[in-house]
Amino acid sequence: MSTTLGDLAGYGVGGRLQTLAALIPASRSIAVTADGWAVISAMGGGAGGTKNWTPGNSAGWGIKGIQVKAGDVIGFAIAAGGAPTQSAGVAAAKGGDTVITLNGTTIAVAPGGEAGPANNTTKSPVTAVPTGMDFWMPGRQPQLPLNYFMGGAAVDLGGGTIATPSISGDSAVAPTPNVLVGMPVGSLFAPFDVWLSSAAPGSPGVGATAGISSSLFGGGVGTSDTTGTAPSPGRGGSAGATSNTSVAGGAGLGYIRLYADVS
Amino acid sequence: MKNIEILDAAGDVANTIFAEEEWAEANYPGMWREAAMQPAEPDPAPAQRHVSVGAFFDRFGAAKWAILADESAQVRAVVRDASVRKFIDLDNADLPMGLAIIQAAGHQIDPEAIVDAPVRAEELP
Repeated sequence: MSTTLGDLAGYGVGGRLQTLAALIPASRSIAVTADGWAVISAMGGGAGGTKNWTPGNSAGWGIKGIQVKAGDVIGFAIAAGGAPTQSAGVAAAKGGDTVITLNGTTIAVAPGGEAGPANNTTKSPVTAVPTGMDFWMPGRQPQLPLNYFMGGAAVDLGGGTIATPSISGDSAVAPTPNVLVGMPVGSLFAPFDVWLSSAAPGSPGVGATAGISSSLFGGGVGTSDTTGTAPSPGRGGSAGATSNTSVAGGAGLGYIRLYADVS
Repeated sequence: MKNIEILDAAGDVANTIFAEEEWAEANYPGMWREAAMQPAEPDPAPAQRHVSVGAFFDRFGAAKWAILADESAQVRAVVRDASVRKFIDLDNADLPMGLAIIQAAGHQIDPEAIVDAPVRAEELP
């Protein structure tokens, strides 16, 4: 019998009881208490900040359904964000990978955002793809045209990502209803059960801006400001290029839903 | 919670994760180390600079009694405004104006010292 999300959908909802739905912000293990299914979401870490070269990419993510038995242990090794570089002439560091294990065996990996290039004239290609997932999205490059102090990349939640004039880091949420890039405000990002409530800075999916870090999935600030610390990307987002103190990429994220078979 | 480097068989960094050390040891026994770069610590909450009303008046030094006895309308208003409070917030934006009124009435006080001096334990409300 295959074990995919499609199979879970084929069985229908009847006969299963959801026993757990939990966001996993840091590494942990989940003990399965009843035979059934697990639906697992995982996102890697975003690339770290750079001083003067092009920022790296945001992380990929995916979702997977597996049959589980009572006594199984599902491990979430949640990615760290890429480390920031504080010296000019150093490329943005790659984000960590989020690794999902079942009883110690790796079953899926959500890759971190690629490192930035060693220049400010190109962007790093997106090459890493999630493995072991039933559905996945790769990471994303920063969307601004190339320049010295680009904002970081947002996670592609399925609608693409966008750079906007008013917000320094890229967003995964459409800034206005007439913009068709990014997820619409008010939609639910179901894999992680996150409501994309607003296009305002600080809301999930919206890039960081001056004085306001991204909460989830948005890119970090890119700025020529030489004071303070650049506002951070959200989970999975990459940090921007800055003249001030560079920051780490967004850490990864996980989510789990457990369903027990009921007779 | 720390950034943890997961090592491969050659001792090279294979991945960096965000985890408790105990979790790392349970899942990658002997194959991890703390990363040099750790997540940023949250900024400490700014300390509240509150002093008791009595301690605030003591900060006027030798001028204290003359100020408290001053029956001019503006100085009396400042003194009464301070007296009805449970404490004085030294970062209150209105405080410099009140001290300026006292100074303008001819009292020899040092507003900067009154506002900026560190709060001592015995001054707490």
